Amino acid sequence: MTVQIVLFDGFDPLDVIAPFEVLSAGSDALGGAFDVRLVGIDGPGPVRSGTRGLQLRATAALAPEEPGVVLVPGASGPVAGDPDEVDTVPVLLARLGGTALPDLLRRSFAAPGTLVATVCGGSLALAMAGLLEGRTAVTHHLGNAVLEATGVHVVEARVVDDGDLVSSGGVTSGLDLALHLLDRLHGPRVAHAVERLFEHERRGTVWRAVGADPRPV
Amino acid sequence: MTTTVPGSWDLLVRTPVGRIEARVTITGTAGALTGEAAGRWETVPLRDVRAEPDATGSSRVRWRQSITRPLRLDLEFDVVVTGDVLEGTSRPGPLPPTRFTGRPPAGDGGDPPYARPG
Repeated sequence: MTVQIVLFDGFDPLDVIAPFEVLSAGSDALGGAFDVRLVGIDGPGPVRSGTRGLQLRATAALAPEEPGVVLVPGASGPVAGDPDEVDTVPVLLARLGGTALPDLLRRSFAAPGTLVATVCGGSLALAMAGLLEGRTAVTHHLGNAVLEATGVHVVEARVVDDGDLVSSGGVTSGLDLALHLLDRLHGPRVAHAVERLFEHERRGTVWRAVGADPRPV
Repeated sequence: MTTTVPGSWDLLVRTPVGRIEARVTITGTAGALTGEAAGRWETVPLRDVRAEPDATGSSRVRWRQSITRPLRLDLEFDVVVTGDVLEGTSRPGPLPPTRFTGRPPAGDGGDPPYARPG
């Protein structure tokens, strides 16, 4: 399998780097079991993040049906202001709807061996493009109300595992998302070894649509 | 002053990604109202259209609509129609409502307030 982390103009660097490091370490712990790549929407090349112009280089174009994980990060930028005048984070994320990303991700969802993971505003970008209708997901706490308005059932958990869509909350939850993916795909021992290496333990329960449905208390 | 529901209004509503223009048209009779909202990218139906006259001769009209472009968004409208002016709020999902005013399209059969693509 391959993990492809999608870079786009204005991406949040930590949304990319946290899962990149965790999943790379997980692959190492498995003897190089899978490849972790930074990919571009249109092709390889440098992509500018939303934080101080920091750039990362995409080494290939996103291959949407490749078995494994396609991970969409969020954007960094202003969170307040009139969206008609300021490119706020929701504006930056909505702009992705005008790129090839929605059609590419539609193919990822349709591919049987590919799961889509999101960090921070990544889920909101897909939801605003109409890809998450009726799904259960989470985004950064500042965006959860907007996510709900796109027709998504929002669950306020750090990681929400809805089958072929695994979303996570704000920025640092990308660490927990990546550890959960290691756990789900390769077992708890690998996830635990990477937790020890990075001195980070996951927080809270990963929400999954299994087991009893709790009544309101 | 007469209240004109059914009717047609040009609106500018706020969303989390900026303002969107639309022409809302409500048709039918009280108790069986339907409608549509035509925007730059698409025309979507209005759902659960309800109108209640109030004591001052205005009508409170509420409806829901779901748009898919320029972004997927559920909106809830709660407006008062007085004469030919429509004033009220639109609310995306659980977000706070924002106020707007809708006016009848200028002239009969005038162009919508936005340019259609193509």
